[in-house]
Amino acid sequence: MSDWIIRTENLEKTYGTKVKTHALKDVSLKIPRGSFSCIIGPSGHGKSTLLQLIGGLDKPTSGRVFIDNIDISSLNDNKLSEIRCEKIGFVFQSFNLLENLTASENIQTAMMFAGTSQKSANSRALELLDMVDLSDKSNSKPSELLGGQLQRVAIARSLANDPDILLMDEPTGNLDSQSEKDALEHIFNIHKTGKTIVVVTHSSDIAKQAELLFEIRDGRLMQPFRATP
Amino acid sequence: MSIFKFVFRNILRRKGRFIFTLLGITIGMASFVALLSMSDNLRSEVSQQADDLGADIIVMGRVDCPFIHRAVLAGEQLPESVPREIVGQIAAINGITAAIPYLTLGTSIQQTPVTLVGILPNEMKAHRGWSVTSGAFFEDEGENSVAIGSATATRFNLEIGNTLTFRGQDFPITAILRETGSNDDISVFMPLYVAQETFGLDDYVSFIVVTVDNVANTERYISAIMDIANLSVSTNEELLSSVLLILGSLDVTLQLIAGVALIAAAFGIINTMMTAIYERRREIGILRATGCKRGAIFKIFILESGLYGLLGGLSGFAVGFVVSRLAAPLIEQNEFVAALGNPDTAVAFSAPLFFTVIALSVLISAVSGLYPAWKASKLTPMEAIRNV
Repeated sequence: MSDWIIRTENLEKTYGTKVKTHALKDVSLKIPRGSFSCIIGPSGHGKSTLLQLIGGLDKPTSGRVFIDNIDISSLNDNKLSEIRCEKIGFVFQSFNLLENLTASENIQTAMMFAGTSQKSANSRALELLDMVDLSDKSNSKPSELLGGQLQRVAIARSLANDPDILLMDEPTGNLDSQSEKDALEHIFNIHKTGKTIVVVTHSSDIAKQAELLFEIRDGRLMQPFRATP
Repeated sequence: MSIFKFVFRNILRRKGRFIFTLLGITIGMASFVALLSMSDNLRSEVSQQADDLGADIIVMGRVDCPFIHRAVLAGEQLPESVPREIVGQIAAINGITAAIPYLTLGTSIQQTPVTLVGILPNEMKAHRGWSVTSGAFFEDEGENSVAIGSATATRFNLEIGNTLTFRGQDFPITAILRETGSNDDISVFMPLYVAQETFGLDDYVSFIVVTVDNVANTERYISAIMDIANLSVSTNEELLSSVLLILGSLDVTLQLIAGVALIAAAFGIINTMMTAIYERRREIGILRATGCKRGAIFKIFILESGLYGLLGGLSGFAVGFVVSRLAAPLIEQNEFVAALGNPDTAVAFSAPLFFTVIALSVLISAVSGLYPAWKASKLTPMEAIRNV
């Protein structure tokens, strides 16, 4: 039996009550552990919605999401928070760092609620900043960092609790070409450590590196998936 | 980074809002401290006056109301309505150890009102335990001289040999009493018969202070006194309760004022926290995305409002302390406050008051933060992130 770390079954997501918008329709997919996958497709067709459902940020209208064979769509809020804390790291297009905290503190917030001791959280934050080549920026606030640096801090934060899965929503969408190149290098290096990475992207540079490519159009998963050789 | 550091950073994020919210609770707690201290001080002042009087039973005229009782405790002018002849009859009751008449008259020294008390010198000296710092105490009950309290001597710069003039008659000061900390310090004393004669009064006194051998039998003694004369007879406790009744209504007023200030401060916190939640929806979403549970979000916002309470309590206590010191002279000039004695209305530092203020401030703030914290914790990660 294959080791599917992420599975979805007949996933549906509908917004609105009177006027219903079907964001996702009958999406079933399987993602193997340690793979690098991309979700592509036109804007507004449901890519990010799919990523949010996989990450347990939102609940499907119907269908199921399995993370490590746990049906997260049936979990209560606390259990879902635990899954997000332990197994999933998020990287957003707009970085989503907390402006009043330093780079190091931003990474530590992710560990603050995971029961990590302050000392361990501090050394882990420095280790992660070093990994993304920002060890000299640990005390810098987001307003003192450039776009590429901000995204690298966000990538470091997503790894804070050493999750198995990294979900990235347009991680290079707000970056210039050089910063994109740097960020991608870090993302690929992280993948080499065995993490499962799922990226929603418009970037062909990222897509062409993907082992699995899922295309979403009008909320449906286009068949067949393309698996890169 | 600890959650406390995180919370502290959050409330300092908008410095202007932080200061104004803190000001709200500071003013609320400061008024609470100042007003309640004033009330407490008035209460202890009156209790102290009752202790100073040293009476088990007080015999007064038939006009009987809390303000008369207050005048007895404060040693102020009262109508002479008790026949002096009953003093001896009361003293003769078995079990009564002393019956000391007071004739309290309003007069003035250097155009400043003072109370002149007509006394039986020997009985009074024994009852009050007076001693003199200079001069010699009255040698007989018909001596045309006065003894003055230590504060009276200091205030009017009087010394032995000076004379005071009452009703056109000069009275040499023959004794300055040692400080007692009671109303005696601000009074002038004259032998009872001399006072009656000088002021052209019949043989009446203002009230009689009675001491007994066994307070358990007080009710019996009161009945015995009432059999002698148709007068108002009260225990010291009754007198005190009566005066404290006046203070009770003052307390309610002061507590209401402090309460309104605290409620305004509480709404200030609710407003600040609700605004903070609206502004920080994205942050809440990020925290939830990284695995923060609803309970932790609730805790963050309760801690933030509680921290406002802690800081507001500290600054409120300090401000209340300082303001009451600055305002005390003005408050004490108020006629109503002055009528209750000569209380010190400034806040005296007391650990119980301090901890009560801090605890109350934190409690009010934390309770004010309950609804905002609940609202914040109900946000789902997507609601928080999407609505930015």
